Amino acid sequence: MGNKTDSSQSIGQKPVFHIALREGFYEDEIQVEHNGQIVYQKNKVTSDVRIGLADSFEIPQQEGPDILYFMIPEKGIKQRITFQFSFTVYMAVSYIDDELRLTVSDAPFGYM
Amino acid sequence: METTKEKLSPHELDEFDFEEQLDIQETDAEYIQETASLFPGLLQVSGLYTWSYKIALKNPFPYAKPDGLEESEIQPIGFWRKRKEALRIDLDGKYPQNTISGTIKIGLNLRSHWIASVKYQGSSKWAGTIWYKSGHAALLPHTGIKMKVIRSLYPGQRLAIVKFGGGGATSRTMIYRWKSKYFRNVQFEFDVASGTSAVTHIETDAHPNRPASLPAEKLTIQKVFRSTGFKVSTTKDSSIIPLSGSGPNARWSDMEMHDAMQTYWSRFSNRPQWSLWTFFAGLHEQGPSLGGIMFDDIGPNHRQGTAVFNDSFIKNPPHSDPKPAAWVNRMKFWTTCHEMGHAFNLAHSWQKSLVFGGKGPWIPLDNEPEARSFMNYPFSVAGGQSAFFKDFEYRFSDDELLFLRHAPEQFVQMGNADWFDDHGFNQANVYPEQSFKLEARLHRDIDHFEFMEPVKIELKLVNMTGQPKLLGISTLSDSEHLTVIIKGKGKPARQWHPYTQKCLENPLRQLVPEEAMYSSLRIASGLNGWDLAEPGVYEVQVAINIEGEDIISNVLNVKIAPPKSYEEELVAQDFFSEDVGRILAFNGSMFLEKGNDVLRQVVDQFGKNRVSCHASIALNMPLAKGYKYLDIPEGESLYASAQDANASIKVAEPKVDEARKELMKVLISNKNNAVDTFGHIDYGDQVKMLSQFLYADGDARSAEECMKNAHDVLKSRNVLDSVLEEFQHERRQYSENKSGSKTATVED
Repeated sequence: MGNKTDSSQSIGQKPVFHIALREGFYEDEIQVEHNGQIVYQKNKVTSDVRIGLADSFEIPQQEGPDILYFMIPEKGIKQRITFQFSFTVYMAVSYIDDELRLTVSDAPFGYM
Repeated sequence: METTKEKLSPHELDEFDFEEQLDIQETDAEYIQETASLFPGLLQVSGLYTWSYKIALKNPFPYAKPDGLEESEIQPIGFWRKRKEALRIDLDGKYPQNTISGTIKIGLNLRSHWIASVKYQGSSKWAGTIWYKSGHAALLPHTGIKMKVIRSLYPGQRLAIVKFGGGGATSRTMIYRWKSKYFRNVQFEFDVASGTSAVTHIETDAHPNRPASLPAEKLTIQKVFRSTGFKVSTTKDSSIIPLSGSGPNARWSDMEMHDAMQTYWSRFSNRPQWSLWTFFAGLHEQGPSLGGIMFDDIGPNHRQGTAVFNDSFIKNPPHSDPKPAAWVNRMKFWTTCHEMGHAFNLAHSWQKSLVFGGKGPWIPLDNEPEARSFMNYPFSVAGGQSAFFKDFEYRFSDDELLFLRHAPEQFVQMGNADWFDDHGFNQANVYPEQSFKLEARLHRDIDHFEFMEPVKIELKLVNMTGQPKLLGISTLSDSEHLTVIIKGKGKPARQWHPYTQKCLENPLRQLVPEEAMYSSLRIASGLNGWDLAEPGVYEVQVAINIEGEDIISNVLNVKIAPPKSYEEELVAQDFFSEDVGRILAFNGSMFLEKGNDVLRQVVDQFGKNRVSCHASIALNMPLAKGYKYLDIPEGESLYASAQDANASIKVAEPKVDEARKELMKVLISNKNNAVDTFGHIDYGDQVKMLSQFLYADGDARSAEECMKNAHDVLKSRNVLDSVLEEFQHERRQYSENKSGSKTATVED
C-alpha cells in the first residue's frame, strides 16, 4: 500500500487538489497526470478495505483549467477530468464495475 | 410436560413421533399463549439450545487380560466420541431474523453448520428450508426442518423439538434444551491512552436529530452488542496506556497499537477467542482524517484489536449543529461500535458484495449503501450525516445480524480466520492433566526435506497416567480418530486426509505407565492433493481422540528445501500428481502407469536425491511378489461389467531378481540414507518385507543379512531395545532355516 498523507496538511495557503484513491484497487499500477506532467505513479496500489482507502496525495492547483488524467494501464483505463476551482478540493477516486468513479467535496473525507 | 425424551438415544429419537408430541403439547401451548402477555420476556423463544450425547465406539475385538494384572487394575479403553449440537433460534426478541441455525460437532474433527429460514405455522410451530450448509455434509443430509418449542417460565423446561427431513434421508428428530437467551459470549476490554477518554455510552435523546420512535435511554456499547445476540462481559482492569508507548510524535501506528495490545490487554493471546480490545487514543499516524481503525491485521491472528481516535475529524461537529457536544459524543460512540463491528468481521455497508484479493462475502450479499447501520459511513448516505442519524436506531442491518448470530463461528470470532487456520485445535476438548502425551517428531540427520522428498512424520503416544491402559494397537494409524493439520507459513491451514480410511482389526495392547506406542504417517499427500510440496516452512500438529479426551501434539516444524536445478522443477510438475501420490502411499501400483513413468524418470535423473529411494521402493515392491490384476480380454468393452467382458483375476509373475537388486541397493547398500528418509518405523517395515521376499525366494541367507543390517543401523540410532530384539528374533529365525525352500510363499 502506498503512503497515505495527512489530509490536514496543505501546500502553503494555495488551493490544492487533495486526491484520495479509495476503493476497488488491488495491486494496480496507477498514474496521474496533471496538466501534462506525471504527478503520481505507483505500482501495486491496493485499497485497505478496513477503511476504504488505498492512498492519497495533494497537488497544487494552477491558474486556468486543471486537466487531470487518471490512468490504470493494465486495465486500459485513461480518464480525463477538467476542473477550474479557486479553493481546495477533495476528490475521491474509486474503481468500481470496471470504471473510475469520482466524488468531489469541499470538505475533507473521513475514514473509519 | 414431557421432558424425559431428551434422554433417548439418537436411534430411539428417529422413532420418536414428532406429530404425536406436537399434539400432546397443544394444551400447554394454549396455556402459554394466554400467559405470554403477562410474561413476554420470560417466554421468549429466541436463544441458544443445546444437546449432547456420547457415541460409544466400543472395541469390537476380544482382548486377553495381560498377565500379572487384576481385572480391576486394567482400564480398557473403547473409543467414544461426544456428539454436541447447538441450536440458535432467532424468532423473537430484538430484530428477529426468522432464522434457525445449528452446529453439529462430533469429536474433534467432524462438524457441520446449517442455517434455515422458517415461517410461523401457529401453535408455537415453525417450518422452513435449510439454505446454508458447511462442513461435513453427511452429518446433516436433510433439507428442511419443522420445529415446535415448549415455552416455560422455568428455563429448565424450555425445549425445542426439531424434526429434520427431506434430502432423501430418513427424518430425524432432536430435542434441544434451552441454554441461554444469547447466541454467543464475548468479552470486551476498553483501554485509553493517557490524556484521552473512552466514550462507551450515550444518552440516546441527547441530540435532537434522532428517530422519533427511538427510546430515550442510557445506551452502552455492551447493550448494543447484547441486542445482536451476544452475552457481553467487560474486564474491569482497564489500563491507561502511557503516551510514550506511541513514539515521539504521539501519533499511533498500527504496529505501535499492536504492541500496546500485547502489553496492556489483560486477555491478549495469539489465538482465536471471543475477546476484543478497544483502544481510545488521540490520533493515528495517518492524521485527523482517520477516525478509527481495526488495526489488528498483524501477526497470525487478526481482528482482536480496534482503535478510536478522539482527536480526529470525529471531534468536529457540523457548523451550526444545535447540540455540538452531543453530536461529538454520539460520533465517538458510533465510531467505537463501527470499529468493533470490523473486529466481528463485518465489512462496510457499501462493500458487502466486494470480492477482494480472493476473499469475498460468506454468502452472496447486496451492497447496502443507504443502510442505517453501524457499518455505514453516516456522511456517505443520501442527505449526509443528518439524514443518517435522523433514521439511525443504533443497530446493525439485518444481513449483519444474520452474520453475527448465525454464520459459522470461525467467520465471526476474533483472531479466527479460515477453518482450523493456525490454531486448528482451539476447540479441542483438552483436559488440564492429559492422560496421554502425543509427540510428533522426525528422525533425521538433516533438519529439512529435500525437494520432492515425501514428508513422513513419526508419532509417539505415552501413557501419562499412573495406571496401565489398554489401547488398540492401531490407535495411532486410525485416521478415524487422528486429525493432522498442516500449515504453510502465511497460508491457510489444511487438514490432511489420507487416501484410505482403514477398517482395521484393533486388538488391544497394554500400555503401562510411561510406556509409549509409535507409528509413522506419510502426510505429504492425500485426498487434498500435495499439502507438503512447495519449498518453505510448515507447521504440523496432530490430535487424537481417546475416550472423549483430545490429545494434542507439539507443533512440529517441517522445512522443504527448494529445487536444486531447473530439471527438478520441470519433473516436479508431473511428480506432484494424484497418481504419484497414490503410488507412493500404497508402496507401488501396476496400474497407474503414468505415475510409474514419472517415478522411473525420477530414479534415472535424480538417483542421488532422496526422492529416488521412495520412487525405487514404489516401483520394485510390486515386482517382488505375484501381483493380482483384472485381465480384460482384448476386444472386450472396458465399460461392460467384468463378467460380461469375460474378465478374470490373474497374477503377474514376480520379477524377484530385478526387485531384489533395486531394493537391496536402496535399503541395504544405502541404509543410512534410507533410514533417514523413511524414518525408523517405515525403514524397519520395508526391510522386513524385503527379507520375507528373499526368504520366500529361497534365499534365507540374504534375508538374515538384511535383518542384521537393519538391526545395526537402527541400533546406531539408539532405537529401543525392544524393537531391536524384534529384528534379532527374525534374524535368528532366518538363520535357523537357511535351507528355506522355494516352496515358501509370501502372504499377500
